[in-house]
Amino acid sequence: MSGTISQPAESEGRAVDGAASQPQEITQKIQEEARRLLRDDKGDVVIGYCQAWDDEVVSPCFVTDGSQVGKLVFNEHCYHNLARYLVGCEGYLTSRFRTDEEAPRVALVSTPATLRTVVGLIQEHQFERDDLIVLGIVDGTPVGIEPDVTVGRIKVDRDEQERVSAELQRLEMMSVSERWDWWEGQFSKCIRCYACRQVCPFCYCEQCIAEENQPQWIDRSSSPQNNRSFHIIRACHLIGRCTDCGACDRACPMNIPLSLLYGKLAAEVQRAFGYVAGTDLEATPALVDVLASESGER
Amino acid sequence: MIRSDELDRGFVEEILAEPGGEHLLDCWSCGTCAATCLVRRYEPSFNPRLILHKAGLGLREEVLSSAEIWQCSACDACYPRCPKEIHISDVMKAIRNIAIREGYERPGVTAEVDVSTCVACGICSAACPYEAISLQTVVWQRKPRRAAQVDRTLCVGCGTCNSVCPSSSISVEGYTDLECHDSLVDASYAARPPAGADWRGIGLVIVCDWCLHAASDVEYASHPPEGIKVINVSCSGRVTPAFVTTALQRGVDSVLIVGCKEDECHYKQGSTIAGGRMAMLQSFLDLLGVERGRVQFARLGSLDRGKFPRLVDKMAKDVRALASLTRGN
Repeated sequence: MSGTISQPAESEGRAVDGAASQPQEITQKIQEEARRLLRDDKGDVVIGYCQAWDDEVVSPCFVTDGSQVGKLVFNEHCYHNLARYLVGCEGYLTSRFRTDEEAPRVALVSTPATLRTVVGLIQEHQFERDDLIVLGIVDGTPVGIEPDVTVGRIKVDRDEQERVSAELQRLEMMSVSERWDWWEGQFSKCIRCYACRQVCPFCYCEQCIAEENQPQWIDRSSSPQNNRSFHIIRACHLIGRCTDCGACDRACPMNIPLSLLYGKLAAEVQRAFGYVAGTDLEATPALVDVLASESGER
Repeated sequence: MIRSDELDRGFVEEILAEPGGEHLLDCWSCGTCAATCLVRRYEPSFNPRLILHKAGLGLREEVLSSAEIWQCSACDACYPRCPKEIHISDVMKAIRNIAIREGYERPGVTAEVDVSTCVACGICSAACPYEAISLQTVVWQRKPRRAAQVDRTLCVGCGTCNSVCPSSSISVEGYTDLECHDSLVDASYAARPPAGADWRGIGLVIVCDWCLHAASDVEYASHPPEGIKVINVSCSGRVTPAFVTTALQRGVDSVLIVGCKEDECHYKQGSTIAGGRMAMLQSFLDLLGVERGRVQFARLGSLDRGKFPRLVDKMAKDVRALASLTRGN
């Protein structure tokens, strides 16, 4: 899961290398860097977070003008995976439509999960490392690239990790048919809005298998059976690619616990293939690298 | 009739000079390669011994223009059996390289890319066992765009690229998504018990074209037990998780995927990729409440005669006892 900032009052947070920075410090550093990049004409756009309608809500923001730099913030609510805006048919860096000269110079405020996502996207040839200025926020967990500027340090959100693994353990204790029924309840909530897909930085295909009708692998009506197929197939498309950023889980309007599915996926990939997505820039596109690295036969 | 004045010694020298072609003249013409070769099941005219012999005689035109030199998939089943230790697929490759230089083209189907939907992620090119796919800039709707492109001289049409493509943008005729989907759905319905039958539980076997070595196993596959249907795919690496979910949704209770033993895969690494993917799929299904036994992956080697009927018979027996997956839905 993406790291969030620990509150000063929480002395429980386990230390990572280097002390965690205060949110204000990180905000200040981001603004400083953004101002410098735009002033020196080193970048065309800075993608970061700004305050939305409420103190507890931030939204993604795209700063192209030095006077707007003050909008950029960073706090514990900044967990969106901003790499989503780099790829897809409207992405800033989607290189397959543009020549090198036309591509904007983008600076991206990146949490550790976003950093891993950026690595995955570079592996998948969506853009080159040099196309992106990374304003990284690190937490000591391995990421496959060195940020151009490290704007802050945060602590790993162990609570969320423990919540997911406890929940997974609880599920594994159940009998198979109890698990089926539990998920049946979850999947019956799905309204097939595809928010999970839209928010996922790796779901950048222009034609999704979920909307394909020749052949129709996944029936579009939202019965629990169809929803189950959709989520299985989406998960399989993300084997070795998903960086477990948790964006789909948070985007789901029906609160389907997708972090369990993708937490399991990440854990299984690590257990079976010893691979953590987004930690090795040199790896071939990860889906294949993972699948071909070892026999999966039981 | 072969006229000795038509033999082209220069052709032989050319092959010997080509990397991989060095051992051409070592061949005794014993025919062990032809006896082992799996391609012969589908292409009876294919005979590696004859190709090597003709090439060794210097029949340039006849060898270079033949369809056979393109049919070897480099599975190397013959290599360990050759008493002269000739790496036959390398010799084939050397001959093909000469053919490519002289402008000959591979006949038959190869993978094709739908440029309009390809997202140029390069996953297919990493998966391709023959390094036939690369990312290139092409013109699409009068604009340049990057997309995967297939080298027709290298592609053998295994379909592994299709199964890893997230946007279903690459396919091989004969095993396209649509064709596979239709045969899956047809088989799922055809396996159902007739009205009034006293049994329930149906199974689907997805078997790769190359892993059944004994004629009796092939015969068995065309007459499986009641409630079981067998469908063919080019390679187990062609099977995607969508195949499995589609079958399960159509009321199939159990799916068995059969591929080649890892180092005997007809398409080099197709069955390795299939094995990894199926293991991951099984663990998802397990988390979602589908018993592990419902979806299985098995491998068959060239010495596993009779194993296929045993696997399927066991499946036919087990599937009767499985509860319906939809549980009354």
